[in-house]
Amino acid sequence: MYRKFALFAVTLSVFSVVLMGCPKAQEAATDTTAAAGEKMADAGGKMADAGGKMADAGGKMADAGGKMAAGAIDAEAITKTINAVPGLEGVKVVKNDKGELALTGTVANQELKAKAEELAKTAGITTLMNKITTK
Amino acid sequence: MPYKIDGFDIDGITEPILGEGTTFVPLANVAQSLGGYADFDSALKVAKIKLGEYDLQVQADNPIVDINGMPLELQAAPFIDSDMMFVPVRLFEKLGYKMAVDGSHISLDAA
Repeated sequence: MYRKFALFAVTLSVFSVVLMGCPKAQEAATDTTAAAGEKMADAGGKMADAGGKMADAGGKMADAGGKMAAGAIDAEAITKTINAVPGLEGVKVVKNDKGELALTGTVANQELKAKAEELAKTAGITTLMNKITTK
Repeated sequence: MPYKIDGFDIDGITEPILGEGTTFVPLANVAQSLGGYADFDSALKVAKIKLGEYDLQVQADNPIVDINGMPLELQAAPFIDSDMMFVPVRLFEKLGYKMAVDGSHISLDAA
């Protein structure tokens, strides 16, 4: 009888200890999950930063490419080619301080304005602003 | 050369006209140099301009211009000279362009 009671008491004690340990285990698990979440968020943030830096670098390369292309263009030669077309005698290819290219001058109508742009593009200017005015 | 637009010296645009305490510029020429399109009805004396996101309707002798359906009062009324409509240069500032006027030299840049 005494042994049965002792066994019951021991079982009860073990059960109590297990029950008391559950919330702590849950807390520990919650803490661990939160910490893991924070680490993932940190990692995500770092990846986003890295992505942003890559995008910046891509933008700079594109800018540099544009400037190199503008630098390689012989604006005077292209101006002469355009001026050889009747109605486009007053058109010029000009460059600004940023190295960007534009068409300027005055022509009789929109068709000639578009023609000048087409000629400039055929001559190798891929990016330019059309600032030609019409009469 | 009186006009510098987006950093480019632009020739071929009619000289600005000073008057009524402001500088008037040829609307169609300047709008085209900024990359826009201009259409002028000389009978009605109305200019229609498409410039970026803006649609403008400007009538000679009327200081109220229509910008995307909204009225905007200019500091002076537009006028016609040599079959061209002139507007106060500050109209372009209202459209978001950075403007600098130094005597008869005018700079306009996309902001």
